[in-house]
Amino acid sequence: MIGYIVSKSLRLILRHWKLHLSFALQMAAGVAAIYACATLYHSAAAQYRDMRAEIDGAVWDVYIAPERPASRPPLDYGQYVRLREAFPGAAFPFCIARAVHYTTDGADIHTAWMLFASDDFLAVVLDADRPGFERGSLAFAGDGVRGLLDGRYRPIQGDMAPERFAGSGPDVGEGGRLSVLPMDELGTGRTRLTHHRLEDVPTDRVALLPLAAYDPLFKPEDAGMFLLSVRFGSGTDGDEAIGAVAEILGLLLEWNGEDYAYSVGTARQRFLLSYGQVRNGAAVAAVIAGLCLAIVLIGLAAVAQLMFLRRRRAFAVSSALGARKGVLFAEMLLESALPSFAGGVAGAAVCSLSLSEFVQSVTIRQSPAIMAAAAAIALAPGCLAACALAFGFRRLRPLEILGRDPSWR
Amino acid sequence: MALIELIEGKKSFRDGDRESVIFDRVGLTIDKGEFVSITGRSGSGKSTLLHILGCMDRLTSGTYRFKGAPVDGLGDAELARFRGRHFGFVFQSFHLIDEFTALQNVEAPMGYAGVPRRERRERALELLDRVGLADKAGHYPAQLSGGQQQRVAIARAFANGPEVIFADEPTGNLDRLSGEMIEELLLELNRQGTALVLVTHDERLARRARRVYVLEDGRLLDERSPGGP
Repeated sequence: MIGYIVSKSLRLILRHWKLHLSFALQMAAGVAAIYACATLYHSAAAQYRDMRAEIDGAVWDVYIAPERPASRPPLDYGQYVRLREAFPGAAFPFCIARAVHYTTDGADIHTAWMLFASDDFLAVVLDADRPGFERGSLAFAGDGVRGLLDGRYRPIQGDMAPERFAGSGPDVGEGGRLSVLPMDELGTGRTRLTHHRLEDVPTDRVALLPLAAYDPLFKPEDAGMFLLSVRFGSGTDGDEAIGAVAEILGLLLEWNGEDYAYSVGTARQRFLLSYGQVRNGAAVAAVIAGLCLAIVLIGLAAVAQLMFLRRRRAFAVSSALGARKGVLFAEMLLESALPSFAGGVAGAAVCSLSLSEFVQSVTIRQSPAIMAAAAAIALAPGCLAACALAFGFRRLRPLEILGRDPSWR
Repeated sequence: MALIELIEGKKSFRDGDRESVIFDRVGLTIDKGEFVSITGRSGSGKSTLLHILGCMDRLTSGTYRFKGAPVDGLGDAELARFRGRHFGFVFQSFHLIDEFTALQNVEAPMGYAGVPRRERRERALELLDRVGLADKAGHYPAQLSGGQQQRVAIARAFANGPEVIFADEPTGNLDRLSGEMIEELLLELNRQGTALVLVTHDERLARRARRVYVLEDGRLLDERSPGGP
């Protein structure tokens, strides 16, 4: 019996394939749109949650921008050491980023990043503990930058000429001359690195240089936007953190006079802004797509119902031939739900693959709940139409339908 | 024992406060393999009586028995199964399912009765062969003439080996030649042992039945036909 119902429904679907294909395509488009929006929203929300858990409100950002040509860097090594001493419970994971453009064979152009980093930067951002790195004479460079430093690649222009700190570069405080090691000596295991001035760059285009190497090289034109991150220990409460940040600002103002302007925000706010925008965009898109899909669903259900109403006579005949109402309902359900379900699932599957392939700004996280919801949405119009008809046919007697036939009067 | 027994059957409809009686105190019996015709004027209620005999409608009061067992207590689902197992129907307008081929139409009652696919197909082909349409098995109703469609409908009615065939004006929509062919086919199948209950206006056809009932003014009159078998 089940086999007969399935084969009959499939036969009917094939017989009306144009109509059912149109249902399936509409469902594919609708479900794909909803799926994309929901997945983007879910991914952005999850990513935001992770980051928030990581920084937990204890990370503050001090944005430092030059007000006029400055004679000194926004934060030199000496000031950094004094900050560390003044706030032993805080870490200062920051770096000064400078871009250098170079060519490997004269035909291509690449950008490398020189990061004058604090030891806290290595510890917090790269999970690599190198105490004293910021005053040492050791640098770590990716393959691309090493080629630039040892003269294999030619620098074009950028924020800073690489010759300044190449193998024959200047003395670096007490550490003597700078020696450059491959990036993998740092043992970070990371292939990419993100910073507020960097857009997720590969580590082979990055050189991590000691902070102390920056000061002797400083020129007024080097001053640019600078972000000092301040991370407090887990035992620090919000009020203490605010007080400490105020003190840090006071010290910076005292040291740098009016060369630089300062603004403060929590790192959470920064993430909130960037990911909040993605989430809001996805949520608005989901609402719009949901409304469109609801209209499509109602339309499809109505069309399916009309299609079945035109077949009332066939249902009455089937009933006269011995089909129970449950069987007729199963036939209606299969015929109306299968194409839209197949379309919806196909749309969600294609969308799922495409999202992972094409969306780079957010790490896409596939959610079983969203997949299940997409499948449920895909089933909805068919079930809606079949249930509405089943409700209408609950008192179906073949006579009532066939009775309208002239031969039954 | 009679195959079908109707005792003191009454059918009426409520129209507001008024009760409209179609027929009352109707009694009839149909024996195994019997050919019975029901005639009467238009609107006399003969089709309603046929629906009740075919278990597609229920009596307002009275008793309906099949092989001595009352079927009044069966639910809708059981009644549908009962119809599929014991009865076959032939309609004036054929009522084939347009989306199905002749073969698939004949297979339908067997599908609902749970007959396996292979057996279903073999029997449907055999039935189509018996009504002379084996070569039209793959044709859709729209590709068949009225007479051919009615023959497919007859083959379908016989699909589950019913004990009774109910035919409501089976030749009413056909030309004379096709009508005669259908008439002979039904009578031939009746001679092979299936009871035939025929509702018709055609007095000549009705008189070929072994027993003729006339429904008149809500009463059923039993007139034995001298020309019957």
